[in-house]
Amino acid sequence: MSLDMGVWVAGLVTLAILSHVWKENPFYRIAEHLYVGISAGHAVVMAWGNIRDTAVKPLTEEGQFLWIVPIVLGILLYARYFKGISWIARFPVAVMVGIGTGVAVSGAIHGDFSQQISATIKVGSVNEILLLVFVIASLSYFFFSRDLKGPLSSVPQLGKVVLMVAFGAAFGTTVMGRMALLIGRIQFILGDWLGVMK
Amino acid sequence: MERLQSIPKAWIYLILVIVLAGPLLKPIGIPIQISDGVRNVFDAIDSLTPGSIVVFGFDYSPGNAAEMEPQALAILEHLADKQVEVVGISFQAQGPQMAEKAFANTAWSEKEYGVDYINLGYRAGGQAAVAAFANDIPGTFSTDYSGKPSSSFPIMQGIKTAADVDMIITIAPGQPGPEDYVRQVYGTYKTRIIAGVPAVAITQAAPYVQARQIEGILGGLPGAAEYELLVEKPGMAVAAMDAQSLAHLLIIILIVLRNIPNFFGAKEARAQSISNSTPNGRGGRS
Repeated sequence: MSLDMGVWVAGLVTLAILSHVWKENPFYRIAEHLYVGISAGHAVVMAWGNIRDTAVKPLTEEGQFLWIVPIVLGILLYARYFKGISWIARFPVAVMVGIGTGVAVSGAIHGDFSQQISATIKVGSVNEILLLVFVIASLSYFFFSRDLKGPLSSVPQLGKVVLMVAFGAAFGTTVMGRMALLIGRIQFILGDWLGVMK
Repeated sequence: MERLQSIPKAWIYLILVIVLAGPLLKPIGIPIQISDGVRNVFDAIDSLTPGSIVVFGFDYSPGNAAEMEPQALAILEHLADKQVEVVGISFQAQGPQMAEKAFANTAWSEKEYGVDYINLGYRAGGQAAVAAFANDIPGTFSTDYSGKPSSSFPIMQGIKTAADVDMIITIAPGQPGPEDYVRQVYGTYKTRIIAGVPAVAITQAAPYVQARQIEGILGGLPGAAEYELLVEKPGMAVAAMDAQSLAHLLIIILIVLRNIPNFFGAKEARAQSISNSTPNGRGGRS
């Protein structure tokens, strides 16, 4: 059994959180509030460290005065908490949305659009042919402009089946992931804390 | 039938914990097959020559470490064997601590900090930060995790952009993740990318592998277990695979049991509706 105080705290908090499957109880509540508080505190410290290293130090120690612009924009975000001048917060939000959209769109056009389409339409093996057919069938399921009739109506039906298979795979892997998290906690309790697992 | 539908939730969890804890205490040794995807990752990393620069994205946190950390440790062991140089970065606030722990628990603890490896800490900004990193690595990560200027370390000499990096490995359960590296790094610099993703994100990352934008992915705990076997250092993931397999079996059994009453109930309801629709009840046709 571990003699480390930190391991004991982690072990007891793990049990407190897991006790929620039995029913809501004060131990669970304490652990929940601890988690939220520590996470928030850690996030604030890391965020400040990030601002200090990225902007404040270059400004104060290296004389890079351009960093005043993002620092001021960041401070202006808090204007929303003051009636009368809350509209000022729209400027930094606009800058953030503009930069975010620009970066995302420029990357997505290449990474998610052109390269994905060219990889999908390049057919050589049976797998690649199946992939192309399934992609077209799945897309046709979301084609609402005209009702597909006759033999064509089977294409969206195939798309529906493909989507169900994809959702099934996603559900299966989600269960797998959740089990892995629970196994991790049990490994910690039995191994690191109680020392009964080799 | 009704009993099957009213098993208390707490009992199901208790059975699950027993099923998971049993094989952890006394392993069964269910065989683990090495998949082609994991072998591709191994071969890609194995192709690195000594002295290659690898950027390692510790983009996970303690909340998902159970699934992600075994992947990171197994790959780091392989990288240590290959004698490459590792630059640890993170776009996830708790990532730098995970990096410290991972370096300390692998062969990297015996290597020289700042020369063989470095932990550059965390930068906020999501995908925009990934773009900034690709364009200017020492500018985006101007200090290491302890606050010393990154340019003062020998390992950082000659590293300016993602083009100076031989491979990027990201262990990421969410965003920023492999997709962001593909969008902001691969498109412009064609830097080789390897990703470790949680099981739930395998289907999301697979199209990038199919398009060869990512060279390979490790998926969830099974991916980590297979990699541990490939590098001949079985660890926590291999130990967990028996438990995971049995847990899946239990869930399949529970799904079947829970649906038996529904199946027979639906049959009875259908029979009832047919009998109600005939004017003379059962046997009305005669």
